[in-house]
Amino acid sequence: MSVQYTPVIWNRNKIIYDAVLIAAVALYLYIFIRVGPTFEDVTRPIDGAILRMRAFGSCAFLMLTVILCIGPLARLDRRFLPLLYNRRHFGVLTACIAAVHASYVLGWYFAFSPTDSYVALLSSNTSYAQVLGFPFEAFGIGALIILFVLAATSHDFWLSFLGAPIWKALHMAIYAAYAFVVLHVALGALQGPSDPVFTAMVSASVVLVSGLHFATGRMEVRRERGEAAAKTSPEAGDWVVAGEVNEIDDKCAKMVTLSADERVAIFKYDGKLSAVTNVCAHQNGPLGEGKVLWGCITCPWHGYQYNLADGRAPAPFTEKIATYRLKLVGSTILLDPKALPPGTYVEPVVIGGAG
Amino acid sequence: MKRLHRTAHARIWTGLVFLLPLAFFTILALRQSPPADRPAELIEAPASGETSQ
Repeated sequence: MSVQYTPVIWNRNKIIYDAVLIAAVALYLYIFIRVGPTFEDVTRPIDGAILRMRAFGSCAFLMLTVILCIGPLARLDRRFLPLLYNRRHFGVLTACIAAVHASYVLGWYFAFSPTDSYVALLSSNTSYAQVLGFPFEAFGIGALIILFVLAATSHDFWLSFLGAPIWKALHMAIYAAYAFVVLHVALGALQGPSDPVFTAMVSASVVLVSGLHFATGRMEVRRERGEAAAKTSPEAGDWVVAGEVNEIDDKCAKMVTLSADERVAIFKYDGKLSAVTNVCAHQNGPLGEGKVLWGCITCPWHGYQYNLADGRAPAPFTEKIATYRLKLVGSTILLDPKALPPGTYVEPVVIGGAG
Repeated sequence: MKRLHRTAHARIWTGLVFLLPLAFFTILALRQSPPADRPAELIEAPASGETSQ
C-alpha cells in the first residue's frame, strides 16, 4: 500500500525475511561446495566448476520447491502466512541463483565451442524424438525464461499496470516452470551416476508439491460446494439469505457465494455486521480469511486494510473495495446481492438493534 | 468478485498431480544403470593415430 512511488517499501519484517533467506542460501552453498566433497567417491572426483554448477542448480530447485509449498501451507495452516508475505523477493533470488547455475553450465560445457556458446547449447543435442537422451537443457532454458519474466514483473508497478487478475494469471506460470525444472533434472542430472540423496530429494519435492497443491485444490472445490450459496426467499424479496449471526466468530467473516463469479465476506465485529467483496484490491487476496485488526479488515496476504463500513483503505491510502447492504431479521442475515461502487459507505447492522 | 485464480489453481493441479509424478517416476524407471562390473575409472578410447602397445 503506498501513496507515492518507492521502488521497494522496506520494513523490519522484509529486512528480517530477506536476511534469513540470504543467510540460508549462503549456508547451503557453503556446505555443498566446502563440505560436500569430503563425502564424494574418491575414484570419481568432481571438478570444482561442476560442483558449483550442482550447488547452484540444486539450491534453485530447493528454493522453487519451498516457494511452491508456501501458498498451500498458508491455506492449510495460518501459521505459515508470514512466509507468504515477502514471497516475491524469494522468487527473484531463485531466478538469480538459477541464472548463476546456467552461467556455470555455459562456461564449463560450451565456452570453448567452435560456435557461439548459446548456439552450441541449443544445437549440441537435437534428439527431441527420444525420451532418454532428450535435450534436457531445453526444459532448463524454458524454466529460466519463465523465472526471469516472473522476477521482472514481480514489482507492484506491474501488478498495478496489468491489474491483479492478469498479473495473477501470468504468475501462475510458476507451475509450468516447476514442471520444466523437474523434467530438466529427471532427464539430465538424474541420468548420470546414481546419487540416492539427490534422487530422494527431487522425488520428495515432486510428491510434496503435487500433494499439497492437490489437497488445497480439493479444499477449494469442497468449500465451493459446501459454502453456501446464498438462498433466495420469498419473504426477502430481492435480498438473499446469507446465514445466521451465530455462524460468524467475532472479528471474523463468513463467505457467501452469490453466483459463479461473485463472493462476499460478511464480517462480525463490535456487535455489528458489515459486508464487502471477498477480493482484496491489491493482489486479489482472500479478505474473508483475514481478521478485523484495529477496526479494519486486514488481508491475510500482505496486510492491506479497509474500513469495514465503506471499504476504503485508511488515509492516506486510496484503495477501495465494493461494499454490500445487509439486513438482520431476527438472527437471520439478509444480503442485497447488488454490489455497491467501491468505497460506498453502508451503515453497519447492529446485532440486536433495529435492523 | 470471486477469486478466479483459485478455481484455475484447483483445475491445473487436478491434472498436474497425476501427470508430473507419472512423468518423473517413469523417466526414473527408464534410467539406464551402468554394468556392475564396470571399471572404477572410465578408460578413454585411444585418439586416432595413436598405436596401442
